[in-house]
Amino acid sequence: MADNVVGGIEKIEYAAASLTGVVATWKPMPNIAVGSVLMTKNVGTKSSINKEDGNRAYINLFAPAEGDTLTIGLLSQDPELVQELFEVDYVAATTMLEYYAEEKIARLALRITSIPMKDGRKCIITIYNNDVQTGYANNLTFDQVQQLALTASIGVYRKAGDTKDKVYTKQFVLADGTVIDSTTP
Amino acid sequence: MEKVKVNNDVFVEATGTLYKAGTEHEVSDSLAKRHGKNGTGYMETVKIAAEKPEKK
Repeated sequence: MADNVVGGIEKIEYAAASLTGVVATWKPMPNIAVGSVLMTKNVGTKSSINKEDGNRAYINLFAPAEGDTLTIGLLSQDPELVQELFEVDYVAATTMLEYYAEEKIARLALRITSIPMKDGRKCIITIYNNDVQTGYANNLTFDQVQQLALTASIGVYRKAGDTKDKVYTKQFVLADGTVIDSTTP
Repeated sequence: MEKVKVNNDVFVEATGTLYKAGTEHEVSDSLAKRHGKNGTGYMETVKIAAEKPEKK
């Protein structure tokens, strides 16, 4: 049996967020900074009620966690993508972006494709509903480039006919994208 | 067994078989059902036309 592992990034794509888990067309989000992509799964905070007559917890209580987050650093500032991430006016004739004072929360779907790390398999992570805030990372120095630092708060979606909310999908495919049927005979 | 036309590439891990889109295969009923109209939709059953009885 092949192993399913998730590793480095092959590509990231974006589209308008979907609350129903359906995206028709994806656009590329190129030039990702090395090591900048981090998906954080937040877990609930545990507190315990202990027993006076013993050392073990009697009951464990779990307070719900904040939603999961994803961070991405981008090396390039493609005007089309910048218009998605910031409140800007873009004049293509002069390639000038004019930034508004207010912060924009970009509502995007994100699809991350990993590189094949083991057994020729890669993973496609699709997050349909993200609230994305964008800042800058790195000084403006000769040995760095200013990065767009995206922080996505992962929201929920609900497919037609479903009764529960979901957050993302992970699908393992062959290196060329072929779907794998893992049914045990 | 059922004859199917493959609409989307599928790799079946259990048998190590790659079914390429556009090809036709004789596959097990369970595989045809899994990827048929009510499954993933990656395969569709090929209907074999009934032979017409010869006129005498």
